[in-house]
Amino acid sequence: MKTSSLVSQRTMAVVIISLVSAIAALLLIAFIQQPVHDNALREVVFANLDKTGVSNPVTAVLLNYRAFDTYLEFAVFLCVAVAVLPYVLDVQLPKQKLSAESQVLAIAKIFVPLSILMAGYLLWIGSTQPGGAFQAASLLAGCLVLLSLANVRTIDFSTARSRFLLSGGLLAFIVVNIVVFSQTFCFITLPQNIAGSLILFIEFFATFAVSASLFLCFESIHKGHL
Amino acid sequence: MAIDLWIDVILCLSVLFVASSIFLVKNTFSAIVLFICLGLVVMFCWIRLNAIDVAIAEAAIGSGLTGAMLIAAWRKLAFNESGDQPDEQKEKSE
Repeated sequence: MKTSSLVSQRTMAVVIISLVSAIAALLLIAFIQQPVHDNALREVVFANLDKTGVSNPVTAVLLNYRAFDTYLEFAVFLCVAVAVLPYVLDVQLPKQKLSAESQVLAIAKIFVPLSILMAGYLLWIGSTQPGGAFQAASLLAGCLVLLSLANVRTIDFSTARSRFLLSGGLLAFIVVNIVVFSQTFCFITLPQNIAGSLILFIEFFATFAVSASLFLCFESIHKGHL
Repeated sequence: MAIDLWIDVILCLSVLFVASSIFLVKNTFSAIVLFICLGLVVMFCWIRLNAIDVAIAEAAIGSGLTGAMLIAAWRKLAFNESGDQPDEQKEKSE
């Protein structure tokens, strides 16, 4: 009995190892057979950069050339937020008073204002240099995580305001594109003269939406019931 | 030139080393810490590829927030395995 189970285990191991090696070999062959990457798109991006309203090529691709992809990404974030929302809705709030200062709170008091400042800087600088909404959002989410670990109440996800916060990026994108479409009849194409400010408008709301979604994911595990 | 190449080789090897050691350690907590380390090593790779914004996102989301989530989940798992403490609390609250 014992030997037969041992044998079947060994055959299973052989099957698994051969399958994994076969997939790895296929991936390697696919990787080698890929044509050499030519930077044809790079020249197109740089040639039309002055029409996008921003001078950072990454932001131009994310929010102007390929705005629809980013728009769908915001929608995915919203779906994730909706999926994990039930875990935090009827959780008891922390009863612990803040009078007894914890170590985490002492750290949070120093780092949270600095991180908020840095997030604002990253959001603003995103139009000319590396940075942007996602980086700022991850910094803000880090702040919220730190505050949550220090037992500070930050966002009450049962209120309607927090729902607007979570869907803010998508709403801003939809509103901007409906207004632009009603004026110019171009679908998801920002007019050249105000593209920069429209991108900043969308990024502003997207920052809060993404950071709230990321924080909600953390909170659903940290405070949520099992 | 040669130093650049050696930095790249060391980064590639360390990514493979850290990633494989995640699967080889038995302890869950060590695996989580190694995952966070992997995020930081990958962040250096992105910096070498001149993608600073991806590096920032990788450091903050890939290792920071995901690491925090994994550690929170690990705490819950450890809590549940250690005894009936959380269940009693739940009954009291209900």
